[in-house]
Amino acid sequence: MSAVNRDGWTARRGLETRERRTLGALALLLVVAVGLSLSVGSTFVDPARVIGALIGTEDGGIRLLVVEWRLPRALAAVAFGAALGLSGLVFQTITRNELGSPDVIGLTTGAYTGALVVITSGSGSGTAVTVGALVGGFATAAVVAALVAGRGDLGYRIVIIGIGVSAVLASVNAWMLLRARLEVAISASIWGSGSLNGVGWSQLRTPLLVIGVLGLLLLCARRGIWALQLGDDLARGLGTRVTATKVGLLALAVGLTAVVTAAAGPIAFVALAAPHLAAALVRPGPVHLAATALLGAALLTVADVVGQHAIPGRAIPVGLVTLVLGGAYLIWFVLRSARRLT
Amino acid sequence: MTDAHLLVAEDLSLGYGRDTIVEMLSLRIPPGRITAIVGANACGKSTLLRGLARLLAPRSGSVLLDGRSLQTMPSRDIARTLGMLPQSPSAPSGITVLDLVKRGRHPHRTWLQAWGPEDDDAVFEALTSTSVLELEDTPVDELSGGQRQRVWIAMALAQRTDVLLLDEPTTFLDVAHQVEVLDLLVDLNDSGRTIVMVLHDLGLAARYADHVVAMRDGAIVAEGAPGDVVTEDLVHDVFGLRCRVETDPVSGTLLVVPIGRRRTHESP
Repeated sequence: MSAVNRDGWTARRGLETRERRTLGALALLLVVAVGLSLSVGSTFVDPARVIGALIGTEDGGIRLLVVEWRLPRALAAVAFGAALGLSGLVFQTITRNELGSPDVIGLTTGAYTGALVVITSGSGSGTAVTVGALVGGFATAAVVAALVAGRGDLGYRIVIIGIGVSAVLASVNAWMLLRARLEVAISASIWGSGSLNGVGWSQLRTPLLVIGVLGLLLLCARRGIWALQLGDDLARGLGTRVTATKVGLLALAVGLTAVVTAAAGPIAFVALAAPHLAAALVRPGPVHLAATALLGAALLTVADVVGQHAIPGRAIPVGLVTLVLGGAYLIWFVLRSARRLT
Repeated sequence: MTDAHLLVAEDLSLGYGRDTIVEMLSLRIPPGRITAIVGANACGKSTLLRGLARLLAPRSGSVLLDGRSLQTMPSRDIARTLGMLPQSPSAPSGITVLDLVKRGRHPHRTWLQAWGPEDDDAVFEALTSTSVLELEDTPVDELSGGQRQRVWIAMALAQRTDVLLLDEPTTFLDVAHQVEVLDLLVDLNDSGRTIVMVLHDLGLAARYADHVVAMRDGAIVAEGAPGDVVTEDLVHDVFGLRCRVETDPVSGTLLVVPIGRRRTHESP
């Protein structure tokens, strides 16, 4: 085997040119989307003045508008979109099923249930709703996990059981809304459609911090994802403590989804689609992780810009935009998978 | 590949759910040799291999690696000595050969440690000894069955373990690729590795293994050198098949010729 020339060979490869271009294009898309969300609105701010406001050369009204009102919303879309995308990637890896994402298997619905319990019981402070959504998300994850435990194809079980749990929780949610006083039901519905309306710096601080910490932890645990992608047997053969790794990664992923849901309400589609779209563009591994985060961020930012401005004078919550996109995408995805099977 | 490691099963019972598949089995894997575990479908041979690879926790008894129970050893330490290739592993779609083989370095890396020259050495050696270096940038999805199996073996080799367990490494391969994979395992064995594989082809087991373990109903029926184990009586006993065992004109090892009911010279 020494016949093969090894000069200069190394297994350490950087990104392929194609992948570097892809990541660059995604980053550019994200910058353009953020730029749009900062400049378009009831008052149009031209790009030069947006940059001016960001670096501090503008003052007064423009600065207030761009930095205090629009920037937190744009940052929220970026961070929440990236968090949802990464959460979806982890879920799809662990369930080994492309449909096994947190919005499909009921975690966002469960987080909404948690929030509704808090809102309808009258203690409507922002922190209490956040805690309610987090508890709801984790409790739903625990219920799905308990029902799934056992033998058989884990990926399909988790998707089917998750969809069932999600349906049950959706009817519980509807029931709670029907029983609630009208004004409570209206405010709960607004939250429940998933919106970045009214996200300001003060509401953003905690979610950003949590997403940052969870994202860092996920980065440290990334090799567990690569091992699990090979299946439980090989992962264990490679020295991974499979159950502990899964539980840890799932906790991070549930945390990422729940913190976004707590801050903005249920947002569908991003966690499902960002990992798929990224996988179509780049190889599995670290570059897929990066592309998923970028795509998630870009998807949510674009969806929010569309929701705010597509129909003049009538802002649509971003959650509805992603719900429509997600429904259409899911139909397309299932049809394509069905065609592949036949 | 310094001193050979000793893998031993002691009174091992294994099972799934309520079913016990392997009961009170004891086995000592000869270090530095090729061992083939053979038997009819559902005789427990794959279950035994999974138990030896600690993919399945013992119901009772234990598997010892150099005298230490696998149940008490850290998984990462085991993974540096004991490699395992399951029967039909699946790769993430779109992954390239190089990226897949690199994942074999998992047990040698921690979350802080960067890729080092040792990792390069191991991956290069794995790619060249399985002759897949020229495929390194090809997506695994695009490979033929034989190439794919060589790539999976390369991944297991990159793990640089002295003991390698393989579950039916020749399944789904045509006869040329079966021989190619088994020849490769002999090459690896020449460099000192202990190899344990589950095989369903008795003739190939007799030709390629130093030690044959024949199983039936979760127990070992016979074990030893192929010449002692692969006999007409044993094949009838283990597989319920009448056959003739002849000398293979190519290898000088044993050839198992099934008799069956039809198309034979002798009438049944």
